[in-house]
Amino acid sequence: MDQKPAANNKIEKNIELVKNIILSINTMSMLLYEIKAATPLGKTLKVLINLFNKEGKSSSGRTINLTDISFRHLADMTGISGEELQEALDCLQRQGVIFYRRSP
Amino acid sequence: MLYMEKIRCMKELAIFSALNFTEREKIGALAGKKVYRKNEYIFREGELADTIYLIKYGRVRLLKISANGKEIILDILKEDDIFGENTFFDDARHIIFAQALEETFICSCNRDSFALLLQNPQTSLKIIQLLGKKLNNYTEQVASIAFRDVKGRISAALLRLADEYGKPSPVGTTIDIDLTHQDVANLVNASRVMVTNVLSNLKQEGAIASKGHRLTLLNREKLVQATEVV
Repeated sequence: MDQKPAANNKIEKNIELVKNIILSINTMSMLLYEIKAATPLGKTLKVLINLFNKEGKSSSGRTINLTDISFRHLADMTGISGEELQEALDCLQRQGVIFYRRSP
Repeated sequence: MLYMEKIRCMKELAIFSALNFTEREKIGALAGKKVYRKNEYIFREGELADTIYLIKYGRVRLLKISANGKEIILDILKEDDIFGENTFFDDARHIIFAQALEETFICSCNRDSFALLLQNPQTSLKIIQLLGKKLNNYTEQVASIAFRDVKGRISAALLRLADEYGKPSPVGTTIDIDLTHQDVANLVNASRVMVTNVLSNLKQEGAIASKGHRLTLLNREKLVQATEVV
C-alpha cells in the first residue's frame, strides 16, 4: 500500500495546525498588548472578561453568553466613550473573540 | 569549520533531538547563526518576517512600544525557545520587537527550511508543543491582568518565572535572570512604585528574598495563595 499520500496528508495537517496556532498567538499577543497598554480596546476586554466570568451563562460548553447589557452602562464601566467602545467591540468581533448584537 | 559549527549549533537544540544525523546535516546546511549583544534588536516591529529564530543560549524579550512610548513586555524567552513564527505566512511583517536581554546566541532559518522540519513528526510535535505553550502563556497573562490585583499578578509572574528560569538554592528557588522593579512592572502591567511596595511586603511575609536584581522564592505556598482570585 502506498503510504506516501497518507504521510503527505499528515504533514499538510501539521502545517495547517501550526498556522492556526500562530494565528491564535498573534491574536492573543495583540490582546495582551492592548490590555497592558490600557487602550480603550484593552479596557473593554478587561471589563468584558470580568462580566463574562461573573454573569455569563455557558452555552453548550463552548461559548458564554451575556445578554441585556446596556451599551451606555458598559462604556461608563469601562471609562471610555461610546465611539471608543463601538470600535473596541467591532475589533473584538473581527478577531473572532466575541460576537455581539446591539438592539435598536 | 563553520559548517560543523552550524551542525553543532542546530543539533544541540532540544527541538531537533528527534532528528537523525542526516536530517540534522540537512538542517545544518540551512541554518544561520549569530551572537547578539545585550540590548541588540533581533528584529523590530514592521520589518519583513522572513526568518524563524531559535535560542541556543541567552535571553530574549518580546515587546511592543505603546503610543506614549512605554515598553510593554509580552514575554521573556530562553534557551530552546523559538520566535519570529509569523514568518510562516507570505509577506508577513513582525508585529513585535525582539531584543536580547544579555549576550544571546541564536540560530535561524527561513520559512521554506522551517517547513522541511515539519516533515519529521516528532520535531513537528515539539514545535507544536512550543507554540502551544506560548499561546497558553499569553492567555494566562490576559486572565491574570483581568482577574488579579497587583500582588496576585506579581506573585503569578514570579511563580511562572521560577518554573521557566528557576535554579535551586539552599533557601528556595532563585529566578536566574536579572529583574529590576521596572522589568517586573512592565511584565505585570503595574507601576514601578506599586511593584516596589508589593515586593517589600512579600519579603516581610517571608515569601521571597532578593540579592541585587535576583529574586529567590522562599515560600511558594504564600505566592500561590496571593494568586487566588477573590
